[in-house]
Amino acid sequence: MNSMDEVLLHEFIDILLVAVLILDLLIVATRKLKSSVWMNASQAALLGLMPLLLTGGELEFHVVLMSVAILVVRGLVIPFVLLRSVRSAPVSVELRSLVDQATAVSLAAVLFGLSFALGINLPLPAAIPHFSDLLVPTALTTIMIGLLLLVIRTQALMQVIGYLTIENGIFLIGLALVRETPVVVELGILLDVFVGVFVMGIVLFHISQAFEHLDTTELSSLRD
Amino acid sequence: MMAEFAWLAETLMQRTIQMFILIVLPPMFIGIIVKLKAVAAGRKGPPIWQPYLDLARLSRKGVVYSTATGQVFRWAPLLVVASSITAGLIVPMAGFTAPIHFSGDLIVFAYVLALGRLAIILASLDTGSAFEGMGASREASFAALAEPTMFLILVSLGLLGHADPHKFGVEWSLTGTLAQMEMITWAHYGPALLPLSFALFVLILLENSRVPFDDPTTHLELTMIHEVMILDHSGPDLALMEYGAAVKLLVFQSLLGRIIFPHHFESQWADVVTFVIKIGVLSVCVTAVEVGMARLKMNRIPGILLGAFILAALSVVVMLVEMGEFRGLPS
Repeated sequence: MNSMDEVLLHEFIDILLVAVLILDLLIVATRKLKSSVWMNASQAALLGLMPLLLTGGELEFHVVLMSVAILVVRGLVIPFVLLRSVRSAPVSVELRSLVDQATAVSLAAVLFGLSFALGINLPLPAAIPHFSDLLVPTALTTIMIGLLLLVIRTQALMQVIGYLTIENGIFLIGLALVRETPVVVELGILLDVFVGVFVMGIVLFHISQAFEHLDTTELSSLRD
Repeated sequence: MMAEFAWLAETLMQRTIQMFILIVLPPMFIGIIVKLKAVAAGRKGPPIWQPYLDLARLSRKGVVYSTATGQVFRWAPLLVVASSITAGLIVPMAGFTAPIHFSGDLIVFAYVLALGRLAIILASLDTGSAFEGMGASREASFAALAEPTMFLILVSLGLLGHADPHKFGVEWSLTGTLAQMEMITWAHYGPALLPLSFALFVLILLENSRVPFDDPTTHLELTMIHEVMILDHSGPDLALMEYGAAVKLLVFQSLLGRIIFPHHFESQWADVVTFVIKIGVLSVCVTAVEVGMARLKMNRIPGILLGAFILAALSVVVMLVEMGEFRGLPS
């Protein structure tokens, strides 16, 4: 590979990371449930391309397998499962949130700043090929945004989205070790996430059967 | 001697072309937007040269001044047009160097535009009308919210010129940055230019009072921003206000067009044609937004502007990262 390809590959990785950051911002700003599901899915799909790029275009079987598995499971299967449970449960398409949109975006701005301030100062070992300076800040931001979503959104389904966003961030950090991680471990994690979302979909369905709403602020007191 | 003469002739040519684009073309792109909107709504719509006819009609009419207005009101339309055109002279159009360029013209660009806005706000307050005061207050508050975004975009562009200053020689200048941009710049700084383009597009919609921030075709004073401020202007004054707004839209579009597709062709006429196509495409984008969504509720606008601010800040940080400013930090 000559040096121009090298530069282009590096910039392509960075563009993907910036796209992930823009999706982080949009997912906080959006007010529609359906679009946040799809934004999360497209974020995961973008991340699914990352293992291929980080290994420098040399196709290794287990890396390709991982990318394809992520694209299919995170990009297609999980959003369909989630949207199915939206359809079957009486959830309003408008998002319910503890804070209004402007406050949510300001909180996101603060988290962006914090994560970048932290992440820029936390370089990973330079031994990793095609490593980008933006990788750690992006991963931290995505994790923080996931936590923010968990806190401010009061619909059970959005809590699943928050959890999946955190998963995206953790996956990004894990990418740094993509060559060293055995494929079984990666696929195991993917399976866990998939089963987790599946279980959550079933739980959402049961909650909606029993309570006629999915507002988590109303689900805080226990009775028998 | 001959070389100097050729250089002079070429520069004169380029300046003439830029003045022609800047002064003659703007109403046409407004006409394109109006036409496309009509077509999208299933109507026939006015021809794209309709804005020229409107301007001609308005400038033939007399002016009516309310007794409540003073000198500010009379000077404002001239100031608005002058500020738009001066800003346009700082932006390199059609791949040429801008007629005005010096180190630090980024800041002049931002504040010359702000001067035009100040003039229009003062003129609308001068009428003493409650509606116009409301429009002025909205314009001022949204402008205040958009200014940090504007500056971060300019800082990001300035850094881009700073990264490779020896090519053009003028640092912190729109010409220095934009004239040296090539398609290859996207390969090196694409991750920073991507959020920058998004933020600048939002800024274009806000600065030029387009949907979703303001609706140029609205007929209810309570919901207007730009239109309500020029309600009291009539005849040639109104023509100047409309014309100034059209020039401002072209100036912003040429800035974004240059960033998105910074290719230089061999022939300068090819450059000029590409430039007009680029502005046309951006006008289609603006129309697509207007067709696709309604005006936002006033209280949602700060959220959107904050989003644009984050994108612009992201662009600055990523630009610094791409320039390798953060390499070699203690680990």
